[in-house]
Amino acid sequence: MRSLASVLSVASSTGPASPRRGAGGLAAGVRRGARRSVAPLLLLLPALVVLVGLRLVPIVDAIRLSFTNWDGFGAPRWVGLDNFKALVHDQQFTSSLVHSVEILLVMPIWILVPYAIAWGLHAQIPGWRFFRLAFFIPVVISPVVIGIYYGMALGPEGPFNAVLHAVGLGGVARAWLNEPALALPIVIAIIVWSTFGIGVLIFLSGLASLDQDQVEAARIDGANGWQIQRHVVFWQLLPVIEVWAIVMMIATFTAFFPLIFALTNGGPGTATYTVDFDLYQEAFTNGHLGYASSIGVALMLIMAVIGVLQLTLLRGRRG
Amino acid sequence: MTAVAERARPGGVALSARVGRTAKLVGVWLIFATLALSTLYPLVFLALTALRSNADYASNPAGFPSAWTLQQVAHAFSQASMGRYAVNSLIVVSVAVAALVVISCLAAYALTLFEFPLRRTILVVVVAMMALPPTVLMIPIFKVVLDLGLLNKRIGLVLVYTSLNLPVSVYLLTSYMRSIPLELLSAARIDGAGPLRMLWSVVIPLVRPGLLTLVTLNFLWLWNELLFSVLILPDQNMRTIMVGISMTQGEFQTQIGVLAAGLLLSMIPPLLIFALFQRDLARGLAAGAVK
Repeated sequence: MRSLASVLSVASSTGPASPRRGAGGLAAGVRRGARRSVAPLLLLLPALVVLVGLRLVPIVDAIRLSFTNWDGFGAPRWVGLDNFKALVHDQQFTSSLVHSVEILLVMPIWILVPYAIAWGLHAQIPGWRFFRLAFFIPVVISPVVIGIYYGMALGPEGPFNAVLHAVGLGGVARAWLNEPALALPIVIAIIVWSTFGIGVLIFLSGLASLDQDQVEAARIDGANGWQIQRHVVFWQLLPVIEVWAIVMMIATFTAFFPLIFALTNGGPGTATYTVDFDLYQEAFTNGHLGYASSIGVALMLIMAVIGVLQLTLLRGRRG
Repeated sequence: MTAVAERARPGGVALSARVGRTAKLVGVWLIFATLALSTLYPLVFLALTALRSNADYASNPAGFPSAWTLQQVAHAFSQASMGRYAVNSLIVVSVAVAALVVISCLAAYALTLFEFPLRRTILVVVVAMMALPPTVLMIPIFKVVLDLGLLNKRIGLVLVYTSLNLPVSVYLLTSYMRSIPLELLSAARIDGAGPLRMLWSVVIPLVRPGLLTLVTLNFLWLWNELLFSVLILPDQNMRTIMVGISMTQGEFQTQIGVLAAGLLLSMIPPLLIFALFQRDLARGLAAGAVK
């Protein structure tokens, strides 16, 4: 949830806070007065120390460590490109990558579910206030809690199986998360469940700023509900949909470690390993911090690709 | 949607559009209700499970307890140390949130209301940092803490937490500070106020709603955080609540009621924040999405 939410603000930011609009007389005056003073640098100092030390230097270090062999105790030993050569042939890594891509494949559902729900709430379906409250609960609960809860609920002796037995479907009951073929689909379903609330929020704020004149004009022109939805609302909400899609792409590769850690711990076997989970396992369970750093570099490249995609979308929208 | 189809089928073409619309509404409403049930059920399930014996749970996990007991809750505090984990979280998260507020206020103030070389560049870098989730940097961040000798020290996690949320916090505050009328600052300057004085008596009062959002969001994110707390405070006496409950889950003899009680305890602060600041949270989370 944390990473998801912070990712959210990234994807939604349309570039750096632009400098003061129309820095006219007064603005310039305030600024000029401070120009020769060291005040702004002193004010910035604590933030710069923290950010340089724990966010910028680590980027460089992440790349450097990926060329080393390091177990976390001794000094990292330079091994050149060995880690990357091994990474290409690492089945656990490639299957983790495939799992993350499989999570991405549910993107249409990821978009449609919150979109449809936001639309229902916006149209003030009876009880919409209650629903809005209820749908927000998974957003504020830690993925750790969500993972442990679903582990209990879907466990062999859990309430889900109990209900199946009660309605005469006892034959279907099983240890749901121990089935290699079912574990990943179930994890994906839980991921969708745990994130749709944020999507609803984003789409709701998009719907709130909808240009009602266009909707009204279309209605007068005789468009039916579906046509209005498809030709007017959809296009107005497209930027919001893009933001949401980018958020979920970034989250897919970096945000679901806590949920998986608490829910399946990657299992059964490696059936629910995602890339970020694989990175953690290699580094901190197997003690291959140097090798795992090459997974980190792979993730950085993926983030760079998503970043380029984001900028392209932004350009297209503006141009 | 199957509900809609089933309802619409018998009448066929004869059904009036109005009945069709009502049926559709009922169908949609049922979907909404099911989804709401799925988000509320965890709270009910965990509460019921925490308040019954294990044997009672095993006999009927989905139903109501046949006998109520507070023993599992008591065990969660006495044997499973949930109370200590919660206090550990509270200490680290409160200090980190306080640090975040102070540091991001100073930085956002400098970046929006002063002119100096590289101002724009720093802003761009801060925003760009938000595009690289810290998860990717877990190894080098761990190494920094290790090299500083701060492993298993609370201050180590406080530092990391501050760095995790600082870019977002600075960004959030700059968006609030940019709407401050400069006339106010000029007036204060003419009155001879220094930079800190202006921040304290002019800027802060104007961005109070932003600060509230900042505090609630950061508290929520950091309270729920797992990865870095498991890396930096693995020591059992230091564990945060999220590490505590996930480790308790793995322990062989853990009773499900004890774990349920721990989960409930860990949900109190987020749900409290949710109840009190729902509107600020929603606004903060959706911030900028539709700018």
